[in-house]
Amino acid sequence: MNHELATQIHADERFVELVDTRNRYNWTMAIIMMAIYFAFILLIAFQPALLATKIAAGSPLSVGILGGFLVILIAIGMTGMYIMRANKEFDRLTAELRDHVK
Amino acid sequence: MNQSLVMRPLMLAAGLAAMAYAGIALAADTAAAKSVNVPAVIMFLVFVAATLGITWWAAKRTRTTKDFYAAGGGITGLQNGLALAGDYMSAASFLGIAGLVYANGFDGLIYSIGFLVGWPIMLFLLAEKLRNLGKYTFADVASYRLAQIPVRTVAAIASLVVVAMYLIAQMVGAGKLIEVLFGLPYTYAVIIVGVLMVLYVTFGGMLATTWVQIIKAILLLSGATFMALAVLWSFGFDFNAMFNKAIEISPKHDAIMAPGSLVKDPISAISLGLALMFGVAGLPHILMRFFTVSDAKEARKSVFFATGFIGYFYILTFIIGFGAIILVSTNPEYLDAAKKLIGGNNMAAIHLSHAIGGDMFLGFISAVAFATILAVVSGLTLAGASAVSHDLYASAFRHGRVDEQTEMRISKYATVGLGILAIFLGIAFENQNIAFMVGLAFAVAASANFPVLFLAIYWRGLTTRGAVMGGLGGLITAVVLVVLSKTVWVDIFGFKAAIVPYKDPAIFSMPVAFLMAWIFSITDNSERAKTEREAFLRQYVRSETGIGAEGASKH
Repeated sequence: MNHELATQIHADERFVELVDTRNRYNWTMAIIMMAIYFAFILLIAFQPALLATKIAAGSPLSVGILGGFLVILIAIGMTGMYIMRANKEFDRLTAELRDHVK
Repeated sequence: MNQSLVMRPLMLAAGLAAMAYAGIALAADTAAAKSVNVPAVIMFLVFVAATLGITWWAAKRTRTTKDFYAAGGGITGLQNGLALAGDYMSAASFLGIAGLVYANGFDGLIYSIGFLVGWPIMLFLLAEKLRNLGKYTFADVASYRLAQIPVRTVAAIASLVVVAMYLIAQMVGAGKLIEVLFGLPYTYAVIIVGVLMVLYVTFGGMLATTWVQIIKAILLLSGATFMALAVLWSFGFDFNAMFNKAIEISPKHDAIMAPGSLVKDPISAISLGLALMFGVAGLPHILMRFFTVSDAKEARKSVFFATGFIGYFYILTFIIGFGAIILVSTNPEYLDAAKKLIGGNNMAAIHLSHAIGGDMFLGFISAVAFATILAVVSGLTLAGASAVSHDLYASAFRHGRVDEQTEMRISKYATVGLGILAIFLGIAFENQNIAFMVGLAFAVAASANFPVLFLAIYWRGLTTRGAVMGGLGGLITAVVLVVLSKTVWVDIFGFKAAIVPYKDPAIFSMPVAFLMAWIFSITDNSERAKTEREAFLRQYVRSETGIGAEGASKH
C-alpha cells in the first residue's frame, strides 16, 4: 500500500466509522475483562474471607469458587459476543470499504 | 527435489522403526527394574505412528517457506483454535493444575483463570491486527515500519529466551513423567521426546506441528471430559454432593473452598496476574499460529475457539482435582508410606484415571500426557527455529537477500540444533527446581515481546531505538529480578536470603519496558525516526482493513 492510497482510505468516512466503532468496542471489552480479572485477584489478596463465604447457609459452594467459574464463563462469553458483532457489523463495514477503494 | 521426496518417507520410516524398537527394547530392559505400563506404551506407539504418518503426509506438502512457517496459510479458524489450545494446554497445566486443586482446592482455580484471561485480551487488542500485518513471526509485525536488523534481533533473542525456559520446563517434566508412567529411564525419555519433535518439525514444518496439536488437543479434551463426567456421575451430577464429600475427606476440610496461601501479598498477586494476562500475547509459539490462517476473520475465530476449549478444559481440571481428593486421597493403592501421593501431587490426575478406568484408562491418559508434551515442545521448537532462520538469519544477517530453499535449510538446521540443545538442557536440569521456568517464560513474554508488539501496532511515535531499548529493558529487568528472587538466588544458588522479595517480576519489568520504549522514542530525533513515524499511517490502515495483507497460498 502506498502513502497516497493509505491517506485516501484514512480520510474515507467508512474507514473512520469502522475504526472508531471497533476500537471503542474493543477497548471497552478489554477493560471490562481486565477489571473483572484484577478485581478477582485483589479480592483474593485483600478480602479472602469474603471469598470463603458460602453462597447460602448450608451450601458447600463458596463465593470464591462460584466467582472463579463465572470469570471463566464470562471470558468465553465475551469472546463469543465480540465474534458475533465482528462477523456481522465490522466485516460488513470492512467489505464496503474494500469494495469502494478497489 | 525428487531425491528429497524419496528420502523423506524413508527417513521417517527409519525414525518410526527406531522409535518402536527403542520403545520395545527399553520396555524389555527396564521391565525388571520398574513396572512397565503395557497399554500406555502401546497407545503411545500408536500415537507416534499416527503423527509420523501425518508428518510424512505434511512433508510432501511443505515446499516453500510459507508452507514451513505458516502451513501455507490454509488452516481454518476451528483447526487453528484447536491447535492453539493444543499449544497452550501443556502437561504442566493439565497435571499441575489438577495437582494444585487436589492439594489446595480453590487456589488451583487462581492459576486456571490467570492462564485463560489473556486470551480475550489478545482477541480484543491484537489478533486481527497481527494477522493483517504479519507473515511468519510476530517480529514481522514489530519490525513492520522499523529497522529490520535491530528490532528483529531483539525480538528473536527474547523469543529464544521464552522458548528455552518453556522447553526446559517441558523436557524435565516429560522426563520425570515418563519415568513414572512408562518405567523408562529419564535420559531415554528426554532423548525420545527430543528426537520425535525434531522429526515432526524438520520434515512436516507447521502443517505437521498443527495436526499433531489438533490430535493431541482432541485426545486431551476427550480424556479429561471422560474423567470429569465419571467423577460427576458418581455423585449423580450433584455438584453440592461432590463438594460436601471433598470437604469431608480433605485434610484441609472447608479451607479447600477458600483462598489459601498461594497468594501472599497484593504485589505478588498483581504481578503474577499481569504476567499471566499479558504473557499469552507475547508467547512466540502462540503468536506464530495467527499466520497459519487465511485472514483476520479466521484469526478471530481461532481465538474464540481456543478460549472456549481452554476455559472448558480448566473447568474439567478443577473437577478432576476434586475427584482426586475424593477417589484417590483415601485409597492406599495410590499412597506411599508417608500417606503422600505416589509420584507427588502432580500425579493426582493420573491416579484418578486409574481409579476410574483401571489399567487401560491409565494407559490412555498416560499416553495422552506424553503426546501433550510432544506436541507442546514441537510448537516451541518451530517457533524457536523460525526466530533463528527467519528473523536472525534471513532478515538480520542476510538482509532479506536469501532464497526460500536456503532459508528452509537454515530453519531445519536450527530445529536440529534446538532439539540437541533441548535434550542437553533437559538432562542438565534433571535435578534442578524448575518450577520458576514457565513463570519466567510468561514474565519475559509479557515484559519484552508484548510491550514492543503492542506499541508497534498502536503507537505512532514508536521508533526503532525505542523498540530496541524497551524490549531489552523488559527482558533484562525480568530475568535479573527472577535471578535475584528466592526461586533462583536461594533455592538454586543456595544464598541465605533473596535480594528481591517478590518472585514475579512483571509488575516492575512491564512498566520498565513501556517507559524505556516511550523515553527512547520521544527523544529520538533521527531522520530514520521521522520516516518511521510517517510510515505508521500505511501500517495503521493495513492493520485495520487487511488491505495488502498476506493471503493463503494456493496449492
